[in-house]
Amino acid sequence: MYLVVIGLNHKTAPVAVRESLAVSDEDLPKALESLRACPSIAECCILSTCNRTEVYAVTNQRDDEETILDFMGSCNGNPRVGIEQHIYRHRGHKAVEHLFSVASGIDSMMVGENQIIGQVKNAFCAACDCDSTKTVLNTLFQQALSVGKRARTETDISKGAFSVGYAAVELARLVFGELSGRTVLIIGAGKMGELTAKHMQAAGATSVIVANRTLSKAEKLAAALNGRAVPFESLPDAMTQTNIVISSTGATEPVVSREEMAKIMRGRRERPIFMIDIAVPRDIEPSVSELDNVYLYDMDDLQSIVQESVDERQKETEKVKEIVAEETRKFSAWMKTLEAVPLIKSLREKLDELKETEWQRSSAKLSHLSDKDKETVRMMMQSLVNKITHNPLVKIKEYSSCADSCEKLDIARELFGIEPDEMEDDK
Amino acid sequence: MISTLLAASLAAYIIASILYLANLHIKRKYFAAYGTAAAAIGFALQSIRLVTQAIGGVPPFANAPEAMFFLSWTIAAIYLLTFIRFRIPALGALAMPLSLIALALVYRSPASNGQPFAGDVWLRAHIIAIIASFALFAQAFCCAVFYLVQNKLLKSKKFKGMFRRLPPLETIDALGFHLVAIAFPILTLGIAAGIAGVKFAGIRAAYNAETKLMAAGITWLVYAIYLIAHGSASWRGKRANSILIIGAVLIALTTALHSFM
Repeated sequence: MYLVVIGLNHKTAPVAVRESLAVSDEDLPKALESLRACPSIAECCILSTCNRTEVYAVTNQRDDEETILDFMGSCNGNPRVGIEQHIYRHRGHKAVEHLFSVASGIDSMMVGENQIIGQVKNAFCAACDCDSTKTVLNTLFQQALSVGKRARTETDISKGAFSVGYAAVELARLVFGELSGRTVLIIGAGKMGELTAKHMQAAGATSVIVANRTLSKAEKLAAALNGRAVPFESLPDAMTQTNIVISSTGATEPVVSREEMAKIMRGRRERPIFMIDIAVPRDIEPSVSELDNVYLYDMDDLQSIVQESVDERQKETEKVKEIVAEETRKFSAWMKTLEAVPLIKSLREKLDELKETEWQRSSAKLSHLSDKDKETVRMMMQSLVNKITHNPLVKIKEYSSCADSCEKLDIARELFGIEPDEMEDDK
Repeated sequence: MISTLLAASLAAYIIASILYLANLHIKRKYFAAYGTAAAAIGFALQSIRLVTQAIGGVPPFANAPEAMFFLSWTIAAIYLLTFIRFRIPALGALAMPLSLIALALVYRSPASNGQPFAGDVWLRAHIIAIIASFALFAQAFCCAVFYLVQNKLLKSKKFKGMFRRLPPLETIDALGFHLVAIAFPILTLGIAAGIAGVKFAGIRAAYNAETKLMAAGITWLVYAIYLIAHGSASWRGKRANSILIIGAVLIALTTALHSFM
């Protein structure tokens, strides 16, 4: 029984190769079916995202990995030679460690991102649906999901801003606290403005106002965001009413000057206003940020927050690695006990058989005994068997987690006269 | 036992202050939680001492050290109450040291020899009201400091350090305003009781009452200006919160005046 992962990710393969090997959600059942059809593969699961394609498998022989490689090559009609240089293979505890790292987000392109945990879950569910996982992969993937959760709760690996839109929300929260009940004004009907506004809405902002030189475009965007459109001329009015302004027009001249803004602030009775200028060239005169109670940020500011969060998360990876190492040790220890399970089972069966034969042989001579006495004799036999086997069974379990488990288990097998092929069925 | 309780609460507040300050600078989840635990323990010890003293016939208004002790207790009480309501551990980094300073002054107050205040009813009301309002103003001062720091950090656009651990501007601004709005009437009553004490009980000579009342009057005026400014246009935010800092300085002066004259 060998656990292996074979695959490639954003670190080892360019996007063209990753694309060609990606398995779509629709193709996944078919791919799992064809892998499962290989006699040497006992269990398998395919994790395919835009940044990685990995096959997790439990094989009967070590050489069976080649089957998986052939499968990956054939998958999309790709010649195997082309992909081999991008492929990594991890066996045994390395494979466990790899999946745990993936699930906890430290192997992702954007360290600490949360999407991967859902993707691991989906891959596992798809494999379960195809009945291609058994004891080992079931336990491995469930454990991976819990490692992913643990990493995210016990460390700050998934804290901070992942995108510019997220950074804008984070800054707005530092000014306003909760964003629920706040109004967002979008100047310009650009894609970036829309995206940032959506982030604000997701964070709780309730109403949206769109102002654009072409009113029809404003109306279209307003409809998409469940807001209302206003003509460009009433921009100062709109700015008096809102808490958050997102500006992303294509204008070459500033849309909001410092004088205008000062006037607007008086109209607002100096209530704080949070402004994001994601246009290039900028829409809002930079000197506006010198005004009291105006919090103005441009694209560079937001980028620097994202970068800072990335640095912070990078620092957290060490802590996550410790968690991964700890969980890998636990899982590897569990896997080793699996090797002892067939032996223990065969031993029990063998002794039960012996007991039964002995009883059959002697029961004729014991016919003078009452039923009650017969029962006592049988119980005595059972108890004797239990007592004799107790210590060996405990030791076999212990041996299974030793470094030289194979040799020790072989000795145990020899001592009790159990042939290896007797156990084959249990595998 | 009374002095042991005092020393123990002092120790608890020192620990709470250190933990809260560490929480602002070092990213560890449990600093704030342990800080709050230490503050709560210190407060419990102080409360036991306060009750024991009062039963033994030494009420908070008995003498200068007791008044200081009461001020420290009230600051801690108001901090813990705002913590329960708003969960802003950052405030503890300033509120707990303030409470600690007041507590340390119990040892340093010149009336440590136990010289009692006059037992006049006006004076008792005056002391209790003034101390309660000062503790509320102290908490508002903490809010103002963090408002100004956070405002500076957000304006400077340097996204490093403690800015993520400080409370949001609007929250802290509103909290400061509400604290002053509660404290102001209490201060007014306290000053009125002081004037009444001077008028009816004639304690002027013993306590330099005129100077003290003048200091209290100026403090009152500053907070009145703050309340008006916060409500009106163009004086929100930075300027209004700066007034709170001035008010706090005046309070410190008034307290010093009362303790050492």
